[in-house]
Amino acid sequence: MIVKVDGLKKKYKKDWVLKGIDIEVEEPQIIALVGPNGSGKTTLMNCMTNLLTYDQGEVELLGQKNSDTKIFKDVSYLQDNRILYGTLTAYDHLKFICDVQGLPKSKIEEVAKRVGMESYLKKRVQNFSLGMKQHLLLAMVIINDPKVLLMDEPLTGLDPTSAIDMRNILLELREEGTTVIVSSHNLDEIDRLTNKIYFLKDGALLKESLEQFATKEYYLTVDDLEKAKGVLEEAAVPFLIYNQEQVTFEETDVELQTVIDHLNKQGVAILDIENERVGAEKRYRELFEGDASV
Amino acid sequence: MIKFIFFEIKKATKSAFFYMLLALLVLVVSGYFIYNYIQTERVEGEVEEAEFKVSASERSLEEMGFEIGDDLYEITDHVERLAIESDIQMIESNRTRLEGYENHDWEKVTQVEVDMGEEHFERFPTQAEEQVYTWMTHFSREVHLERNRWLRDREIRPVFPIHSFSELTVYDEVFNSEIEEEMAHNFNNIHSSSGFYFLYRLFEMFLTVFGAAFFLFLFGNVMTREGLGQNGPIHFLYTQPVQRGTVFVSKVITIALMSLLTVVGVGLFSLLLGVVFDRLGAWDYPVLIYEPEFQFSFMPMGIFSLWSAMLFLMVLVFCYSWLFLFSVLARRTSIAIGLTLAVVFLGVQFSEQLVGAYNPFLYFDVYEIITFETALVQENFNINLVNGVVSLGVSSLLILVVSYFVMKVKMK
Repeated sequence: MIVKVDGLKKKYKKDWVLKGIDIEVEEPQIIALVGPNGSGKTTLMNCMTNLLTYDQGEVELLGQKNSDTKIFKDVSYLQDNRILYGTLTAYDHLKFICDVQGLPKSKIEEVAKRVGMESYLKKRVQNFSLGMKQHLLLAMVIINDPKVLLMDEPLTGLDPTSAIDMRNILLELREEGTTVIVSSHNLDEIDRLTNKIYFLKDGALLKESLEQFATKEYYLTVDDLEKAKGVLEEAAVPFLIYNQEQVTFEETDVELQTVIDHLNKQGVAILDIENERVGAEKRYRELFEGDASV
Repeated sequence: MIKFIFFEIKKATKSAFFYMLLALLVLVVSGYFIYNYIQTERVEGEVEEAEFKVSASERSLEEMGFEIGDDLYEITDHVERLAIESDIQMIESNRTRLEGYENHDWEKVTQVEVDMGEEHFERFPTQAEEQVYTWMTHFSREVHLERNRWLRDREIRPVFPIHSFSELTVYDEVFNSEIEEEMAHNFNNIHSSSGFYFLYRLFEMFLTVFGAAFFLFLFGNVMTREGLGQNGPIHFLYTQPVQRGTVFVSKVITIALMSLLTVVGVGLFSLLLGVVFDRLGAWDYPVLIYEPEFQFSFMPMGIFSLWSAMLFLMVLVFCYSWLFLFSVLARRTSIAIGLTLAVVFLGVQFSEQLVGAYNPFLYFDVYEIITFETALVQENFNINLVNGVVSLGVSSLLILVVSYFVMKVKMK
């Protein structure tokens, strides 16, 4: 088992901020943790890496308990940029990791090139922009070629080019066999990274819809919208009218061909068919509609 | 561990504030050296004084119609004969001194002082009973005599002035007048720009609670810069494959090591100033060590400096342990330093009578501990270097353990 989180519970004062989290990862993949501010994403990651103690449950990373600090040879955690030392250079940070983890110094140049931070490797962190800090944080967590990589808001402060580069690196890491657990507010990027999305709501993990978000949503333009409505209602097909113009439905509810057959049979002409993937954003809106923090 | 220590050193030394304080330290040491250089009584001054005394005595003899070589026993007036004897002795002793100064024959120079001291004790054998606490006490005269014997036997170039008035000990409590007291203190306030003596004076002056305060500012952010409990750099360190205790222990070792290097650096810089602008001086120059029952001994200045530095380092570790505790509790550098200084100053000021020799706050005045001056004043000779190291070490360890566990709790 690569990652095993079993019944993890964490309480701050009287409030449960994590209410029994279960995660099991058996194959290398990218998993996204999505939820509004205060939903417990960072707390979950901090508990998984034993930076925070927790009240109940167990965490194993690569088959070892998370209390064993040796796991950090193969497990990396990208955190808030406040973990950086302003007076030190990027090189100093990376060299320290190489020293502690017994990595060759050549890894520094290598990772700097991969992340695209060669030009400011020897500059002090206090002069870095937000994006440069994110680059350094990324370099710090991939320099040791981890098997498990936890990332808390890695896209914060990145310009579009850097965000694309970050996404590509994460996809490369997945190909190389790294399991990545990433939290982000950038749902578009999450959509592009993975189908495996865990929603965190009030300290509980909602995993019921993992794969179904890979489904498509169809938009049909017809010659007679009213007639089409009647036909589909009669056939008990779940659908919606989009923008007073189109019939829309999800692939998981009904197959496209079935809808076409129903409409054709009743003489409704289909003028155009568009489809769109049902993304994290839509599901997020469904789950967190009405939450003040959304 | 060693990697962590190097990383800690790098963190500390890459701060502009650190270098500003080091520059300030260099300035203060240099300034104090300049002051000592100006105040140093040079051989030329001693020569001038000896020549003046010789000519004054010669004039006095001339006025009395006496020439050296005349038969002293022909003088019938007892008072006049004593005056002539005194002048002759003055001329002889100062001529011997002058010879010594001219040839850098320090054995000869100190022998004059020894002779005069021995003669004094022969002439006033009951002084031990009479002058117990009145300046110049019998004890101080004995110290002066032994100091000059020590210098003579080792052929050490003395730091001037070396006349008997320059000796002032803790027994010299009563003075006949304020002028006498001021004069005694002035004569005793000996300066020298020679390396070892300057270092000795520097340590006497700065290895105190004020020196400790400087080091607290120098390394004040060693814990707080990790952003304890605020997703700060400590989380970066804690996600490396090392035991968490290593992070804490490496900080203690680093701060102690850097303090040692700073103290050693100051020591070497002081010696260098001495060598460049004057001379190295004698490592075995005698430092008075008090013993019970009006006894005393001397310690070579080099050894004295080493013991002083060692005890001061323990004082610093004790201060750092408080700093660590308050850093963990307050999480802000200024508050942590402020609270540490408050504890130290209050402890030094008000805890003298607590737990006797095992009170760590007793050991902040390093100079007075090594010389046993504190022990003598407090009539407790258990207040010594060894007990100081033990009490400071044990209490530091306890506070550090408490700090570590408080940190663990606060990080939850």
